[in-house]
Amino acid sequence: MKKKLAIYTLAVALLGSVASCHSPLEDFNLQISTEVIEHYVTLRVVDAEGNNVSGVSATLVSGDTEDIYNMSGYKDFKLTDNLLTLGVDPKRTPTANDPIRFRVQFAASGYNTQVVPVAITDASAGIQTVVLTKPTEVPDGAEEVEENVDLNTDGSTTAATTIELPSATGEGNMNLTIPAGTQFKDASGAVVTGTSVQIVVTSVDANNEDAIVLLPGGDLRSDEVVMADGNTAAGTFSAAAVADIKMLVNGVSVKQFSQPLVVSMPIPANYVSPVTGQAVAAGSTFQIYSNSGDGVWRFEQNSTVTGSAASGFRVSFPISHLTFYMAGEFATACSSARIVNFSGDWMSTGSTYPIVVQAVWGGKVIATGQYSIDENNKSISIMNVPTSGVSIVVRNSAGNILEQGALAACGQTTTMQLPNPGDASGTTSTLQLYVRCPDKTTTITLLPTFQLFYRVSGTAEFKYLGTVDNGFLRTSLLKTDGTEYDFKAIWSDRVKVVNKHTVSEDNTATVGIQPGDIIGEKAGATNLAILTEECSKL
Amino acid sequence: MKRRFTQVFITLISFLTLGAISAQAKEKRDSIPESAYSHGYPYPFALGVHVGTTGVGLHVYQPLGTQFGLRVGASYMPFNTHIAGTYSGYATRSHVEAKSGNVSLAFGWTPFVERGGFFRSFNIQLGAAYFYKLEGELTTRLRDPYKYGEIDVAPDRVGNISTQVAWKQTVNPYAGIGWSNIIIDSRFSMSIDLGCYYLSKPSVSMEATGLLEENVNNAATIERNIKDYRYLPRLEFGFSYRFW
Repeated sequence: MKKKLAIYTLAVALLGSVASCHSPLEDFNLQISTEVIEHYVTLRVVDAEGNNVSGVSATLVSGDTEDIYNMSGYKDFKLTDNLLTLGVDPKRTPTANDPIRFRVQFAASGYNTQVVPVAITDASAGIQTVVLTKPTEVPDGAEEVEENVDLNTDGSTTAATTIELPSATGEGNMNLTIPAGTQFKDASGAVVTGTSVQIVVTSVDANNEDAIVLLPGGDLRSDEVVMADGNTAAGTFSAAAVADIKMLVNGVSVKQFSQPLVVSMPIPANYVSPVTGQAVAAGSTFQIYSNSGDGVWRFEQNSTVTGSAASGFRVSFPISHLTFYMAGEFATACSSARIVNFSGDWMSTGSTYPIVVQAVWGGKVIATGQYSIDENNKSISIMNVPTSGVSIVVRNSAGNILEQGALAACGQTTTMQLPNPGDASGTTSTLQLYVRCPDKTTTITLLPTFQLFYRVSGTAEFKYLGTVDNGFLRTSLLKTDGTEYDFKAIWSDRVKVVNKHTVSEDNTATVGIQPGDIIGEKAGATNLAILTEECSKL
Repeated sequence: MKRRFTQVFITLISFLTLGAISAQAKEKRDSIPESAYSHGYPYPFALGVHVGTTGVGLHVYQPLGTQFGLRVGASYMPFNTHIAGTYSGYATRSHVEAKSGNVSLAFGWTPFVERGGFFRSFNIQLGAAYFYKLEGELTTRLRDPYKYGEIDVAPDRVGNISTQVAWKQTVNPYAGIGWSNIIIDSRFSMSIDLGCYYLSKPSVSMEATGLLEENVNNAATIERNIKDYRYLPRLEFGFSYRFW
């Protein structure tokens, strides 16, 4: 009997040992990264003073928009705070040689609608700023006049009229001459009648950064220009003079005329062609381009410069439609995006810094973008800049030049070594965020990438701190001496602001509801709801 | 892979069956000798095949007197299957590929051999096996197409999780019970064994790709869960051909 008891005990022990094991996948926390979209561009929309504009609507109006989504994977395009991030379906991989190009229209009540060209490659497109202007405000670098001209009952002008205004650039006035008997037509070509025509003429100094935002796209670069030979190309204008002419008859927008009007615009005497290097002189020729508001600049004609340096140079040309006219030169861009690769010893420390990259052509800044640079994101793309003669200027967040050099030829990558964009002598602080989902005991490190802005508490403007990658950012831009900062994180369609927060060298924190975790005090319930919702997506 | 496993087993069975038929062809079948019942282990020795939780294989029984015996065996188990599971709300499908190979030596004591009856060949076994291979790999993918917002994410972008579990190549002790000599006829006997190997501590490594890349962080969790997976059960059925 004892023998059998021992045998049964052994058998039970064997089975028991096996049965006591845990499931191998007990507490297995299956996480799916929300970093589905790898290639994206961020557009920052502000007014002329750099403030947020409320009620901005965004629409993808043309181009290769089929594979463009918001960062949550929906075709629902709304600004979060003042940012709109547009990403590419991961099934497509845009490259420098095959960028995805499209246009985005921003509209807001009380502001001029702006349509901007956008391109996405596999290099960082950074944060591009779009400025919405108010039709009632004339920025520095622009001059505007509004006049009413009487019309006959058939809608024709009663007499020849010349509208003059001080030119925003060059010496003298800009003139718009309307012959007697001119009738005004709408977009369909039908004559519009009324007692008068309201005419608003704006002279724009396109080399003034405040005034350039008045141009279609707010930029001297354009993704679609119909050139003199009829071909279409992207590129950059060197503008000598720009005019924006708007007319209304009886509330109807005028687009065409029964006979040509004449525009005469002063040309600055110090204009030097970035194409030929020649200074302007009498007999020089400028190309006249028009833009009817569809975002396409079209070659109209060549115009010869008249006058002298003493009396001022000028171009005059007839126009048959509205609304923008530019006298200048156009340089075509490479078909591929221009890629700039940055390097620097500081990258190996895991630091992330915001930089501002400017493309300069003919001594003028033709493109500006803000980028977050680190070891894993050190390539940027620049679009629609001329094939040659362009230099790159890199500045840190304080505006100091870090590096500058020539942009490599089409198809070649520009390499630049950057010194530490932060405060090399300052203390480096590390921000490390973890998340503990409400139903979990362990933290997760699978955090979405988000943009982080900061300001010293009590100051007005948030500055860009950089892209927080997987909850991690290391920088020397923040002081660890007890200075209080306000932080603003923008992630997908969420904005989170933390005020009056001091930083130390190590700022590891876990968002969650366990003891020691942070969930926020001001809006704890809201934060928990966000946490629960976002955790459910992982 | 299941088919290959079956094929191997049938081949081994066929091999023994052919041997038995050949023997019968030469001489008329004898009645079961008394010596077959007098030993707990097949007497004078036997060659057999087996199938069980550690795979299929061959074994040799050698009695050491009437109450004791030795069993030398070799087993191999290629094993493939699919398992489904739901983790963190996501349905998954895992391809499991396990391989186990060992050579074993077990010493047995048949305490009830003199009593006869059902417990005549019941024995208690102690031994060890050298596992030259004991490893498994799970390749886990999401069962359903993954949609991110309105974007259908391609399976290769979603990626997979590969979990490898391995035990050291070493000698592992064994204890168990069994019936080693259930006589079927004059030549054949059957065996049933139930026991357990005590294995080395398993190690876990994980690799993951695509959107599942971060799941390698679960390696520690799995390693913790299977740290007690040191008892490999052995339930085995065998057929032996006694040479006498």
